[in-house]
Amino acid sequence: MTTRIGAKTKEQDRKADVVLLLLLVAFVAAFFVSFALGRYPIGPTTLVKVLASRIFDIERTWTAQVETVVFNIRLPRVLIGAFIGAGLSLSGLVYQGVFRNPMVSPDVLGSTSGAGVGSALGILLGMGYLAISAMSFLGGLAAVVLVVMVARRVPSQPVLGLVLAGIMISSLFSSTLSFIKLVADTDDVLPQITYYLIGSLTSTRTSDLVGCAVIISASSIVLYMIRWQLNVMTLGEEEATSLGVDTRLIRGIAIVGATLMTAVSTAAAGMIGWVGLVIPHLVRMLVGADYRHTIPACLFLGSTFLMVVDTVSRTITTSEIPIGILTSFIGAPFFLYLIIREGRRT
Amino acid sequence: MTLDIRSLTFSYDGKRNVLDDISLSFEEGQFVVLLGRNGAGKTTLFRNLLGLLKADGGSVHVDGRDFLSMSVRERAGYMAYIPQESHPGFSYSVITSVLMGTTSSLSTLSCPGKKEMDRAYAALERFGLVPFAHRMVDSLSGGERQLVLCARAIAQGSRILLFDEPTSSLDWANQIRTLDTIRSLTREGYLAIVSTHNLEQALNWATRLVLLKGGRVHADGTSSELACSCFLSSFYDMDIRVEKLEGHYVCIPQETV
Repeated sequence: MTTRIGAKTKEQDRKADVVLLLLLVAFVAAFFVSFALGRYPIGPTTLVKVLASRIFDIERTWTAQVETVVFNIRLPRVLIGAFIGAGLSLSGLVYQGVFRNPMVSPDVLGSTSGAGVGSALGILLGMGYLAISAMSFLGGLAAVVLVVMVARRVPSQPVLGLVLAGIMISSLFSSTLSFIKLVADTDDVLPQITYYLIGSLTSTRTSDLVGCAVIISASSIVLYMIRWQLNVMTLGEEEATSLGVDTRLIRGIAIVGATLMTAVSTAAAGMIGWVGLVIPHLVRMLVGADYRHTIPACLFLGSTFLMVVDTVSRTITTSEIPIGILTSFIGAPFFLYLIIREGRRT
Repeated sequence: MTLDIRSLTFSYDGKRNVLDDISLSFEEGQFVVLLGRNGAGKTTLFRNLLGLLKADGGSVHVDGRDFLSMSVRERAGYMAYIPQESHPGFSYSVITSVLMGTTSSLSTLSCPGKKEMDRAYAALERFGLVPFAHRMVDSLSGGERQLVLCARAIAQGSRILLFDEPTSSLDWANQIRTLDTIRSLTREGYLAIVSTHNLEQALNWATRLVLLKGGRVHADGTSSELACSCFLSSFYDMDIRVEKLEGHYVCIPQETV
């Protein structure tokens, strides 16, 4: 009997593996399509040749302009889109599990609004690009530290305390952002702040790419290492503790990792909403709720999603649509669908 | 295997003791029922034992080892908890849920392997849950879900089982089945400590009853020692007549509204 169940379990794992493989294929396809499309289209053969020329000795049949577009404009942009998509999706997946609430997204701890205030303040004070990124990162971390400090005052209800503190701090930071916009110069600084926060991959630079790559990769690896403990955490404080999980440690690692990924993404590309809500839901529909499968699936699907949306944002009209607007157009109706579905279930 | 609780004291606000100098000693094979009115301290006692609350004073020893200073994982190796109902944030299959019972035998960074899988299957077989292995837990009936929680506790490998009101959300037949399951586990050598509000079930199934009142141990004994109308009437502040019918205790309230 045991062998029969073992075979069935293996079969289910294999099903998850097939889905993962398909997501990987989609990721690779989206990666190359994003490279080829844009205001300066590049044919697939040329693209492969240009990319391969860095490794192999190939005769150059393309212009220097093509090479500039591929390596200096599109490569950083496609890569950063992939990293931010993966990072925001995984943040959402982790927050939803730790807070045991499928409606939670990376904004819950106030890290997005905190990062927004940090960067707006940097722009208002006329800081340089790097300083603005650092301010954004510090703003995000400050919001999380504040949320955790407030939540600690409610030791008997740690999860509820965190969520309520997150809502309160987010609201506080939103008001601060409104105040910064109010005092900003309407001709120069205000449009700059507005465009920065709207969520776009247009103005991303190599330093952003390095920051995102290092922090999102490191956080993803750590979160993948504690995948089983994350599963048990979804049972809630009482049961997870009784099963031997150090809930404070795991919750701490999960929140720090997810917040770092959100903060670094916001610092690089502004506020890109809804990705952290939509992708984890789609992933659970495809491979179930087990973190052993959802983490890799989320990384692939999240990055594919943002690469595709970014490609659409820069090809659909002559002037580029900021990606944050598009993700909201997709995310808001999806959220509505989730609420209605939940309502029907109960 | 022994569980010794000595002078355990706990207070939420530092003023009123919710557990007041609790001293109890348990041995393997006992079916212990904790009885007490709402707020008597049953849940607080469980939460202290599970490490969710930190006792203000007293000690707990398992086989002579200081239980309260153990890590959460070490404690889980000795003591399993079966909640009244489990509401995970997301839906898992029966086998994955039972596999979660093996977590305390894993390091923080590892996942269950073949050894853990075998333990989970053995637990499923023990409760006749093999046909349900790949069903989602939330598609099962209340009684089946209770069995999944029992299987998870057995997969945990702990010899002390804490049941929090295991029958309160079940239909009558499933209540009896659950109590029989707990009894068979104690006959295998497990120590079961069960909190309940059902006085009749406590008198009929438990090998030992502990009555808590105002955070203190009010009485501690077997059914035959405590099944006394006047004693139970004073405990519940209500006239109760206890009769024995074909070997079963029946409690009849004498006051009706």
